[in-house]
Amino acid sequence: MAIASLIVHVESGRTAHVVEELARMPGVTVHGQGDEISLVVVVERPSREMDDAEKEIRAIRGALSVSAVYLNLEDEL
Amino acid sequence: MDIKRREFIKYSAIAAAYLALGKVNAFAAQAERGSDGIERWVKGVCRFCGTGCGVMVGVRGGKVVMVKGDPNNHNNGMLCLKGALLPSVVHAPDRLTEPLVRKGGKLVPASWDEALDLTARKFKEAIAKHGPGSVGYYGSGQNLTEESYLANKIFKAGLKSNNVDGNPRLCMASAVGGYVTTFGKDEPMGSYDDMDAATCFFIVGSNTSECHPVLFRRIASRKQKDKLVKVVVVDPRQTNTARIADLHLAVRPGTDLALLNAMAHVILKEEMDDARFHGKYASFKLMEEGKPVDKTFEDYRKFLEDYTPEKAAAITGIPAGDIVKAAQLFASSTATMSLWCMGLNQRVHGVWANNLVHNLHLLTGKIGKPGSTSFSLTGQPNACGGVRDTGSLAHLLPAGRLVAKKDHRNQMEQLWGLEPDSLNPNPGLFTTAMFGALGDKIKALLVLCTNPAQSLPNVRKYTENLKSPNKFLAVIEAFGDAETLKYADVVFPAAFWCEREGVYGCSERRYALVEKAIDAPGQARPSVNILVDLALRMGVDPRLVPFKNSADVWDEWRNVSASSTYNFKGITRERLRKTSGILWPCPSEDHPGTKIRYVRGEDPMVPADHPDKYFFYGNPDGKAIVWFRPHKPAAEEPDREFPLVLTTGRVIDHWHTGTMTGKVPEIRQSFPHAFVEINVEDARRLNINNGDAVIVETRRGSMTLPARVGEVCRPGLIFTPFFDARKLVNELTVDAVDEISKQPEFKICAARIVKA
Repeated sequence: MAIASLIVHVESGRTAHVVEELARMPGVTVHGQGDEISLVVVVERPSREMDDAEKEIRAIRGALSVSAVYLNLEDEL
Repeated sequence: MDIKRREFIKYSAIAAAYLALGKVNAFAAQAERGSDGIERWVKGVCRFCGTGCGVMVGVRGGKVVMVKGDPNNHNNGMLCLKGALLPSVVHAPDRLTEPLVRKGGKLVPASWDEALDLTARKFKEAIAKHGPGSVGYYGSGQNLTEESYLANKIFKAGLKSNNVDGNPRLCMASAVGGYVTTFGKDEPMGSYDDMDAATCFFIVGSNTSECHPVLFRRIASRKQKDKLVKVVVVDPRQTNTARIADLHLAVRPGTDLALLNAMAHVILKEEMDDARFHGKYASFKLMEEGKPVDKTFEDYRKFLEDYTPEKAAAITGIPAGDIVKAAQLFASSTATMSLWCMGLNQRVHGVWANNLVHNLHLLTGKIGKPGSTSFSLTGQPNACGGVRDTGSLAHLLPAGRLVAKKDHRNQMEQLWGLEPDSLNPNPGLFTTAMFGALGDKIKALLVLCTNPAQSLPNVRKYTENLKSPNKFLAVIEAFGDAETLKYADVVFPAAFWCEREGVYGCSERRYALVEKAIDAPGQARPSVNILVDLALRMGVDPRLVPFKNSADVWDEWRNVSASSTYNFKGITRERLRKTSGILWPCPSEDHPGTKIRYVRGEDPMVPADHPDKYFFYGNPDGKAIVWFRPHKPAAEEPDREFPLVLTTGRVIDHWHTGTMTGKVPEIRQSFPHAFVEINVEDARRLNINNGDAVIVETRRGSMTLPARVGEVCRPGLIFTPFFDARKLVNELTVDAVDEISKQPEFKICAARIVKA
């Protein structure tokens, strides 16, 4: 199981919707709001699903971009 | 992993994210807790696109187990997921670990001596029988700077062959041609910091959101935080980038020369130009019979009369009002930053398109001020710092010098300790010419860190040459599944990314060090050492290659640069270890680097006592050139037989030919196969539904791909990415090249589709 922190960049006015959608995603925890357009998110998934998580987030209406800040793969190597 | 460690790592991950946003809270104190168990952290640069994001690499047990964004580099700790997943690439199971030699039609393991001796013998035989023009080198924008500089020197100075080219010919050559023809020198004059000051972004032919995601976040954030910031996107596809546009111009593919001239027309007609600026710092020129002819501003105004918004609307498919609006947004902002990429470069008139963007900046004076700059985005991590700066293309010599110019050759002869007039005065073969001559004029070729058997346009044509029994192909490569290995006679296993040390130079002229974190697998070696060994065995004068490692090569290159306006003598290895990169020019060790070129007080290459504020020192008169470049069609326009335009590109999950991203299981799973994007109108007309198999056909071949029906492509346009080795889309593309840059027109060819 890999651990990543992502910054989800949110369109202005759509934060609540994006938080709601993120909360439904398995292995995804919204930790908090970094600034008015950024959500700090932790993803805990097997690495083979990490990319799917990013794709699912990008598909949320109002999620403009996803940045990765930190990725730990020590369980998998 | 136990629960306690897992919690520590999560805390660290969260803290790193807050720190990247500049927010110091209770979590920040936890930032280092997840580092317990990490033996060491080393600093590097991402291995993917040309953004050049800084990464910190965490090592344990000889493996890279953790990656985080470097908070001290321009990316402020941010990465894209592709970059963060680099450990999966480094530790991929199909890494090459021993030299291979083809015997009985198969690549079989061999000793280093056997592989090196065989390669050296083949090159020496070719030169002895057919002259130095019969050997060549094909490099990459992914090589370290030291590797490109060294290979270029070995071939041009050691073997006297100018057949040195590389894959930046396929992606950046038109940008080089644009900068050189307009400003006299290559490389952008601004930096990423301009993104924080621009109030208008003019993004043309670049899907920044998917191809340079970290920069996209910076642009999108800027727009969200300042309501006065405007974004204009020119792209025939409704890309993710276009989602943030105030104005999206979905041009008919290949018509942006008309659009850009029409914008210049509007700017002059509505007197939005900066007459004081262009009157003093720009000259106006037209090419006539192959020679530049001086013209006046009034001549230019008359030239633009053909480009009224109404006339351009008929060519581009963009309403005249939107063209006017784009020109107004560009010219009336307080600071405009243009960004472009392959959409302008991969074209038969790519250099011209680049010139026309520069024209808009010169006419409005929106250049050389914070936020005002004309900035080409790069596709590879070291196309700029490696191939372009070191002059590792067939017509170039280091630091912007030209093979064809005697004084430039003489300068390099002196710097390299060669006899006067001993360098070969004839430019070598550029990429498609080189592979077109393989097995014929080119008898022996060395390929370093790139995958031409997949990335060349109209690739089937060149595959025949790769198969030729009259060629010898040696490849230095890290991965066993690269398409090009199918045709190699010798394969040298290379150390990859942080398995050796060296310098990358990104789009903003920033040189940064990738430090060594781990050992390479098996017998794989750093390419610098492979190149030196090969050179010595080929009989190259040992005084030309007195290098034990990449640091030695960097020191020579740094000193060589001091005689040019690229001067980065002050960027020592020691400084690179201490910092997360420095922007050249940087002539001395106490110089901080340069964020804005050509401006007195900013650029150390402009004398402090220069009488004018701007000095475009690349051109003899110190002025930048506004070129008259008429609209011309693409090499292959759609017609009755092939009524659609096929364009190619990248998707966020994969990078280029997929040799690296294809082995990250999570990425391969996400986008396992190529696809073709079709507009709903076209799909309806052709009775194609989403997911249907469709046959895409051009004059060069056909292939079957699953359809993605939607609104992304404008009607008449289809798109397919080029990462999938099982679906070589470049069997379909044209290999027509730009007359100036010799860059192929990947972006446009005529096609038809039918339900399979």
